Amino acid sequence: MSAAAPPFWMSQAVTFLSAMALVSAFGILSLRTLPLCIRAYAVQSLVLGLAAFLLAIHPVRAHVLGIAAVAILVKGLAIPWFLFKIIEDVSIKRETEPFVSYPFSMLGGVGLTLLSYAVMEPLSGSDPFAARGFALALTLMQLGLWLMVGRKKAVTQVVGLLVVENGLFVAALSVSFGMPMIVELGLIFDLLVAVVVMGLLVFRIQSTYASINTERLSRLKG
Amino acid sequence: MPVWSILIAPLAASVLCVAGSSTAAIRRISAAGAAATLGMSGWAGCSVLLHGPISGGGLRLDALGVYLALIASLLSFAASLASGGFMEHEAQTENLGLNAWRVYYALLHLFTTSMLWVSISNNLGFLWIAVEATTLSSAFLVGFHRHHHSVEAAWKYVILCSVGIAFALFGTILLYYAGAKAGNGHSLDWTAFMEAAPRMDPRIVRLAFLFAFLGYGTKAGFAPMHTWLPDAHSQAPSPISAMLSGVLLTAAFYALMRFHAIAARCLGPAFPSRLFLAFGLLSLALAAPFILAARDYKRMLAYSSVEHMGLMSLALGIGSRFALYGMLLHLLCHALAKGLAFMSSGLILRGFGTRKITKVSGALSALPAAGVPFLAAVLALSGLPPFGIFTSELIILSEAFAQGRLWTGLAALALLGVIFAGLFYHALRMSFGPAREGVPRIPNQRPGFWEWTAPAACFIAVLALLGFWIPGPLDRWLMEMARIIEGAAYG
Repeated sequence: MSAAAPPFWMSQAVTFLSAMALVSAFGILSLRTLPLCIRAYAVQSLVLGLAAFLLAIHPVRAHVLGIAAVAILVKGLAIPWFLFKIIEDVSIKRETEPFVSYPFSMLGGVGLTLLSYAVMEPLSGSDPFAARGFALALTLMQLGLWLMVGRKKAVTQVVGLLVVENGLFVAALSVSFGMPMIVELGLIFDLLVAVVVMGLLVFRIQSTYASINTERLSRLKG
Repeated sequence: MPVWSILIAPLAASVLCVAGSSTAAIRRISAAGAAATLGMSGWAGCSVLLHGPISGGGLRLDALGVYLALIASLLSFAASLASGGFMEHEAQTENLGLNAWRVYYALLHLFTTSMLWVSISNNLGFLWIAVEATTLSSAFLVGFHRHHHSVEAAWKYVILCSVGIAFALFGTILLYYAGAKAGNGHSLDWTAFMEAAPRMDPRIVRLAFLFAFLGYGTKAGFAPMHTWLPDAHSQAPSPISAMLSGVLLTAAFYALMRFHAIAARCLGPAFPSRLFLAFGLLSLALAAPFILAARDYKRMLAYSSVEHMGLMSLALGIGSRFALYGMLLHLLCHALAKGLAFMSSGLILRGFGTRKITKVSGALSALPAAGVPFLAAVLALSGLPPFGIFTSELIILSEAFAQGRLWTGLAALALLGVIFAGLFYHALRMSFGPAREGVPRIPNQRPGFWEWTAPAACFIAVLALLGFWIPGPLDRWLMEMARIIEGAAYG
């Protein structure tokens, strides 16, 4: 964001959308049913896609626009649809079944958020836009990781990984002119393949264990 | 010759395997494809070593990349041959259809493709995508058996490696940001970063390196992020275990070497060196008790991979040119020995029908085709003299002392001693003594000469040869790579 500064309302809107992304991450941590978690993830992806869109129109940057569109389509619509299809086909119970209690997981999330902002502190002097972006990115990544550690269901772990990936998306946006187009597209394609692979594995876990609790995936020891 | 042409052979083999009309046809296609891959890599290797790096379009093949490409194609060739016997056995016991053969061989070659792609990536974004592609293409190979255990292993493998490597991408993005601020433009190329490294902001580079280290370190199997490794290595079909251990870990380590070169140029060697030394020692310390107390021989080999990756990390941490030379030699010897060990352990598993160390005895006399290479490979892995790993470990440890890292050297020496005792004890126990009744289980299923005996003999011969003689060209090649990792040669 070096040359012409963007209009006031726009930077406000980007800040608001970033806050929404953070709120939806905490939403995923606290919501108790799987469909709600997936919806919250879809909201997060849409919000971030919209933020990317706003960042791309002033100054106009065609490749960021393209990436925003692909991100909204893939992460906001296709992946949530696919996850809904999985939980329908595998007929999973709706509860997310935590290892870590909900209040504690929120508390841990707040701690991780503070940690991320502290880690990114050294950057904030020279380039506050990037510093805030990287801090939000790291926060989302850690919250995603925290979600993966704290929940039993395989699908919740996939949602956690997707939140981590949204964090990466924020990081790429924070570099003021975005990553090279081909790399971004490669990342999104990778994500799509990863989700399909994990979806198929969920089916396989279901057919061999008749349950998708990862708690049962603990026979390999030593 | 464009750089990407080394991807053609494995990719074509993958597609043709899907179209194969019979199991015999698929096996022939796979063998031919793997041989072509090896041929192309060898040719590219000669061309790079004689005329210097080839580059273009975010891709680049230099002495270091071609080393990885050659190791990957060699292991893939051996694994592709050894897979025939494995699949035949599976087809009988598990009642597999033709489609399972198609999927297995297609994924095997796709896996090879992704690893070769790692070796030619100059663009660090491509590098990341390629490393993630190695995970995704091998996930179903790890879970091939469809038993409880292998599904569990595949799940852990995909989840842990994907999330680990996400942090590596975060590191890459931070590095890109640092590069852009230092006037690197929109480039993600490793060569451009090397150019710009002295001008980049050290605070950002330090963070970037830390995240990249955690991310790729997870994939390389450093303790304590190694938890996916023993499961995936022990549950995967044995030819796949050989590729996971020999090449996949190496590919992630290769990414770390590239980041090391950038960080060393920007920050000086002290910061990356501390990380590599600490995680290297921790990996050695963690592997030792698990190897001593091993009950499952494939898990024992998997922990031995943690050990050897730890030792290489240690050598990278020591950082002198000769230590890097030893590390690169170790990389090759470990890939050969571990590949051989896993593939022969697959034959033992087939013959004895058990993974338990205590239930296997007399493998040498009952199953010489499996027992002899297994014993040779495990002895090589434990660091006994006639084999190349002895030489490389000697170089690394003597460099540790020469560089004044007395306590690091002593600790590594002690841990290697414990690991040697464990491997030696378990290997002897499995190899000698009377064989159990009814072994081998399926007596008429002997591994073919060209599919197993000849490649295994070659592996053993090369390992033994490297123990007391390093040919001149290899010597110069290792030196050249050591200069690249130090950050002294690029562009």
